[in-house]
Amino acid sequence: MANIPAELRSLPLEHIVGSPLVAAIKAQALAAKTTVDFIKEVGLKPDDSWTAVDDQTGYEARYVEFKFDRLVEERDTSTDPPATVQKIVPSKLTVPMLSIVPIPYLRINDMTIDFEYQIRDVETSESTSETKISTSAKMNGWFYKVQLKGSFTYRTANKRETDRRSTLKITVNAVQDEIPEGLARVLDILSDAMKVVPISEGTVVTTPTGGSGET
Amino acid sequence: MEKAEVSLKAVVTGLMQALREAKLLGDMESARLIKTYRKSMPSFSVPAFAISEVEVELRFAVAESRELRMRGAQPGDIKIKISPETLKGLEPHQISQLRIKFSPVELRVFEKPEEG
Repeated sequence: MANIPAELRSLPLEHIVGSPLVAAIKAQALAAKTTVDFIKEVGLKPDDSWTAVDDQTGYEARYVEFKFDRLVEERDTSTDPPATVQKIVPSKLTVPMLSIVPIPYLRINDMTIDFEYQIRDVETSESTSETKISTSAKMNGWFYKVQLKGSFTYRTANKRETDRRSTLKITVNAVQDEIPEGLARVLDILSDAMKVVPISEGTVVTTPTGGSGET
Repeated sequence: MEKAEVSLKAVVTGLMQALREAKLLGDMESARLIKTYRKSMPSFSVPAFAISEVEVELRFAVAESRELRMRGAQPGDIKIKISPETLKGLEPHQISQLRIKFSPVELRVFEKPEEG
């Protein structure tokens, strides 16, 4: 077996299973950081007029404003009997950016690791420990430590060319997760700040209809 | 130098210990991230994963009983030959296959029933 690369010859099993686990945790943390960066870049803008806790930059919510025509019904009391008129009122809406764009937040739902592993060495070591529980009782524990060392399966195509592709296969399933509770509350507060402001008086589009005030 | 035969108990124990240590590696990474999360992303929960199920298929050949007696194997333990080179030279009927499914469980807390 002289062709086995040294780095694969003696690979503890815990690292083969543990390394993808650590990688998934790092990937999840990176995804969370991407979400924070997205919020800072898209939904907020730095505000130098104040400083946040721990001397961090203060931020201000980024708003988007747009005009639209709103159909409004008004009761005209100048006539007898009072009538209802419909008016088109040019208005503007101020919306926090964060409340209208989906915030990307990916979560790794599950991960499957498939691999073939050849056990090449079994190291066994034994140790005995003695623990005093109280002045009258003693507990003897016998510990048994085993370490499996091995290598991934590899294939040799011919004498000149060695295929070092391992058979490790990792399937990661990531889903769009619900946003954290604190962030959801922030979005609720921002949504409450949405307001429609009339820009002008508006234009009457229907003639007054009489009496009952119903349209 | 590879050993000719090993204890089946040692192999299975080794697998379980490897899984426990793999989980520990993941937990250590999560613990390392706590400080960063507290500072930069306090409303996010620190990622941590559980190993929900592990399925292992083990191929081996049982060592001869005469060898077992000579090597003083403990009762309930089986000495096996596991090296790929040994298995390659055996007939298919001489090779045993063991499929083990590990499902880690949470430690249970037992409460002492009230006397009365």
